[in-house]
Amino acid sequence: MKLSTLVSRRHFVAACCGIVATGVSSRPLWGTVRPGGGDPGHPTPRPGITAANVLPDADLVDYPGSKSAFEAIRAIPQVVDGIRCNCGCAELPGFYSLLSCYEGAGMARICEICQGQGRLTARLHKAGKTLDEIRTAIDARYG
Amino acid sequence: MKTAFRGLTTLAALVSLAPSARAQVRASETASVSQTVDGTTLTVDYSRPRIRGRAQVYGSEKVIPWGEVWTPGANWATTLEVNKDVTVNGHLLPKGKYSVWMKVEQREWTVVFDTTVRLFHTQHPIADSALVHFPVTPENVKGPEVLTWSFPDVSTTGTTLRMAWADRAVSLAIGVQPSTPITLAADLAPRYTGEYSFQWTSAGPDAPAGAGPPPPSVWKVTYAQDMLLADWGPPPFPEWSHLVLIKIGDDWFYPGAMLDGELFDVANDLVIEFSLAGGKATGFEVRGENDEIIGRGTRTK
Repeated sequence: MKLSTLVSRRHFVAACCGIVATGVSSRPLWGTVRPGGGDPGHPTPRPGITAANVLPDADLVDYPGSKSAFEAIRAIPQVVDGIRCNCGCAELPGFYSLLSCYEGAGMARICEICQGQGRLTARLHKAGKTLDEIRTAIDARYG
Repeated sequence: MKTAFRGLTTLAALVSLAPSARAQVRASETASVSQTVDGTTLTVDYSRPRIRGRAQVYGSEKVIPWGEVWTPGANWATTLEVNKDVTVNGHLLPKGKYSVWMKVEQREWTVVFDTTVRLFHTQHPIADSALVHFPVTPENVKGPEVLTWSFPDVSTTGTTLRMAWADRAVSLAIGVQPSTPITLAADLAPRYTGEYSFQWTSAGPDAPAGAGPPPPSVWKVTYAQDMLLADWGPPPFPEWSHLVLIKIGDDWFYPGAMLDGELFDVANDLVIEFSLAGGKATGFEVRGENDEIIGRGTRTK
């Protein structure tokens, strides 16, 4: 069987799960850092950091799929600020941590990796994991 | 003599480095070819000489005499850059950039990788550089008019790097390091082996409006050849009927699709998370890149 006839994993995910209706990823076009590559270093949470600059629900109306991720990270800004985003946006000017993805231009509205890292961080924090344990899990899954 | 040689080399180098701002015809045009295999990228930069009617290339005193240490290209030495350690015909080539040379004999050639990258073709490898060298047997071929480096085949574990020009070709077997080992320690396997009923959480995008998820399917998880395997029936696509579960964390796995016993695709945008009770998996969740659950498996046996 020719490999060209085989389904790609992107097609697989799209066709089976209905996550991306068009079959096209919302992953940022400037690329991602995948297992085996990139700097795994995580930022130090800034003292006194809050979720004050996280986009409000009013800015998520056109992005309903991202709403639960924004809700999740609003509750734990001090944890999310200690996580490096692995979608590639860490290279952007003004970026500090995964929390930055949920502020300003709000990349997390369209980026499944930003959303995924936010949801996973919240899920593990709720399960009682420490920041270091969460970082390890993030690196294993997205690093 | 040495000064004259150096002057000639400098002149040649200057000619070679003539300003690129204006178009220019080159006897040996530059080219680059690159291939990525499982996160390891190999890049060859070289100039491409043409036969240009010469009756003999190898063994010709005017082109490449027997015994010549030749860079398979022209002008500046051909280079090979690898972003991770690789093996070449079984010999370790550490991550880095190398100039590439071949000692051309009538039968057996010697391939040389020199850590001194910027060498003009007349300079040859520097003796005290850290060198990797090994013999190869060139193929007799009806080769191309223009010297060509290529990657004629690619597998999940390596590729072939091939140089062909005139009536000779050299193929080098490149092996890469797996980005994620697919084996699992035998003592961990019993936690997961068994049979699971799998259910997607929603219908696919091609399903009619209001349609529910497809019927449940069965995952039979076994351990064989040091791998945790899952037979999926019926699978969403025939090519996904045999999976290898690749451990990335505690009870976390990427699904890899196996074809004819060989791994051919890793879906690293999905993760399978097993839930354990009493040291045994009770089920698993499949999560997408956005960490939302897209399917669940429940142990039945």
